[in-house]
Amino acid sequence: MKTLDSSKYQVAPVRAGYTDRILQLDLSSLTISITEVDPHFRRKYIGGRGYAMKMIWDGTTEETRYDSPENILVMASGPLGNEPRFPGTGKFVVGTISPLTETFVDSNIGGHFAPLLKMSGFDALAVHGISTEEVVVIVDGDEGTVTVTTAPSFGEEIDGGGLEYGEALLKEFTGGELTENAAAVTTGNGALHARFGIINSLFYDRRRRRIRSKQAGRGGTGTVMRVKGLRAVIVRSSRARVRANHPADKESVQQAGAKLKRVISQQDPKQLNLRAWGTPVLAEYMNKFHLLPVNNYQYGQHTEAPAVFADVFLERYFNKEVPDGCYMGCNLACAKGAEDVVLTRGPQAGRKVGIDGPEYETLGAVTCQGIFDPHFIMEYNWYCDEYGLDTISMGVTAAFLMECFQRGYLAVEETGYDLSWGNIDAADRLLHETATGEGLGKICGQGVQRAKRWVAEKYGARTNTPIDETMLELGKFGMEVKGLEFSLYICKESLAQQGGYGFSLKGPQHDEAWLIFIDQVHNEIPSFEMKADALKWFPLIRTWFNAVGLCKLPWIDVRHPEAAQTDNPSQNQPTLEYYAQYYSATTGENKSVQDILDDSERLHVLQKMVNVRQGKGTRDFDQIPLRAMGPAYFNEYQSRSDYYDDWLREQLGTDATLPESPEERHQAILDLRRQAYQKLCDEVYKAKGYTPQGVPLRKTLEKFDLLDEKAEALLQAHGTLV
Amino acid sequence: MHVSVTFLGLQRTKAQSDQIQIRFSKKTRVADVLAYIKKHHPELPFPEDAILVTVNNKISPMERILKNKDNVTFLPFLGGG
Repeated sequence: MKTLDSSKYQVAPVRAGYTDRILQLDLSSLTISITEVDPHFRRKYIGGRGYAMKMIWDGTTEETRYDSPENILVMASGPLGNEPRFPGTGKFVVGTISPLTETFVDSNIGGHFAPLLKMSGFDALAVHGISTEEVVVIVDGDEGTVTVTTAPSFGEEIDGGGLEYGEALLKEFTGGELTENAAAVTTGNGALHARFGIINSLFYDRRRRRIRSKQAGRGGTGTVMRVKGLRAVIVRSSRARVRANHPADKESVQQAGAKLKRVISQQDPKQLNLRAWGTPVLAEYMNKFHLLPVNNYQYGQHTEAPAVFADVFLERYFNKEVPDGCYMGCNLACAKGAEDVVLTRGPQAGRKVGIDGPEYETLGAVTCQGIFDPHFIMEYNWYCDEYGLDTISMGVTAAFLMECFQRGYLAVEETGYDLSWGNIDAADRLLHETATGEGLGKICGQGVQRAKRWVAEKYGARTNTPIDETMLELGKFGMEVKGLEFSLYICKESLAQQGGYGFSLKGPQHDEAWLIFIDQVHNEIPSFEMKADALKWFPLIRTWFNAVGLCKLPWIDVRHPEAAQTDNPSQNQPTLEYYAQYYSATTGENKSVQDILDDSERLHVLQKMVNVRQGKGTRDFDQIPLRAMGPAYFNEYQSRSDYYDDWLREQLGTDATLPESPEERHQAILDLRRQAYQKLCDEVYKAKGYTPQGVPLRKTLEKFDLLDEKAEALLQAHGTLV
Repeated sequence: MHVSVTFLGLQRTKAQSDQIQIRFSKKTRVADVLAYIKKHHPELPFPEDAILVTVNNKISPMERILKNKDNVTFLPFLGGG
């Protein structure tokens, strides 16, 4: 490794969860600098996604694209990150202008990287500019140095992979002695060829005695990393982690953590059992309620689905004896992993590898292609991580191309091979082609939004069909909003979740709102007003976790036994009280759950303004595909015609006569669904303080002290006067 | 009358079955089915204050009177990833 630049610094102490320093790297000029964070900034933007978003708001313009030198790649934890006495504190976010959506995206990720970065003296790392050669950045908290080096080569096979390269790099850095005190972020060569590149967070797991990985999957953060010429960041700190946050009230931190850990240890084994099964446990419940995506979200249930239920992975792959937390002190420990899995496909066939996953989303990305083979899911998981590809966007784009093949919009002469549902050979080939940017993979790597146009052009050339006409049809089943592919839940029978996806500021990812069960199954929010309230409340609390450096699963997926006695059991308020206590005890600011929601709303409104500035913030960009609203095609209606006819009868009233033909009933359902979604838009914008076009009102910006010059100009451009 | 109970997740693996049929007299409530299951399958996990009941895939109160061929599921709380 050839040193290009190096800088000594005094490691700032952590006080009340913060170092109040941001490490700034400009890779164009090879400049290393440190920004001091003032208390006003800290209080207003909290950390994590708040810091990332504010840097993007201030440091980029509407002209900035993912590959512009002025785009910033921010990695930031928050004040509550790095506390082994509380569950789920290894999280950080990566925020940037996305290659897919061309607006701000943040994706959260676990592991040891952010805690070590904080102990090395930094709340965040902000990478600017573009390097002319590939570089590695080393933040050494033990030595008090930041170093930029040329990216070393470990041989052709290793250099292309996010996992393999990162492990080789960490071994070289630590002299072969892997340790929990050093971690890295990397991505693979696939991120160079696809817009949905991921960032891997690599850390040493002393129980499994190997490097493990978690991923910032959504929105193409890894693509931005590679465009910048940033091959990896290594961070090291040997400081003790217990009480490393130097909380204002350490006893209260201890109490809050102990209470939450008790709820997890007592309830999780009787509820979802995430500790043993990980998130794949969701597949069985999703399949039961027609929510598991099959064949590009056409169907939500399949007879072969039991082949990919969690107990299959537990028996065949997961190591049952090892606690699997992605950070110290988390007793939910849902980050499952497998050892010595033999790859049977692709360029590394025959190798034995350790695989971290699958998560439910990866599993759903494969069933979305009509495939129910657990071993293929494991291989798909590993290759996506190694190549640096988002398993969700990869699978959903592949499924879109498969449906184009099913409906005749693509033929073998265009794809080069049979893209039928369930064809594992085809899915496997498309994955590897996407990673190398070859063949159909070159199109797949662009994501659904851009693939739609390519398909329309090819179809037009073959059939003389006007491109706009085909685009309208492809828009019915191309599962993207704002350019981001949907995550893996079917929302067509839950109006609230349709909004959860459509209004999500980064695009249809469920980390803002997952309302399917409380809407579709529990029927807890039957009116438009109640749905709108939920669509305001849940995004605020869910995304707060991304600002403070926490995992939300201990709150959202383990129900506190006292929640049932509260007004809104699904909010799991008794557990949220522990979070408020933890926040107050760490920072010394006494905050209630409502204070937390208000803080989060400021970030939510700011993100909306970034979207408005980037041309993705108005009502048009909250619209969802017809497939997300209902049975877009007749075959979907036919597959559950009794259910749909009952639904239509309920809507029309028991005395009404149903349309005579199934085709008319299908059409009537779609008409009602379209109307309902527009009404939901109106209600949600009203609840959030937006205009009917989805732009924040002036008073909304004033309330959160966000009406700066840029915001003022945007409001005027959109005619928002009040 | 016959009522079926579907087991999912941990319940399924503990019961080693994804569904059982139970014969009841008329006017059986969901709560009666739960009591029956707890008595005859003590190995199955039921979170005391966090059970969601569905009857024929729709949420249902414990006091609901069941009909012949109804399908009951006792679910844990699901909040989404």
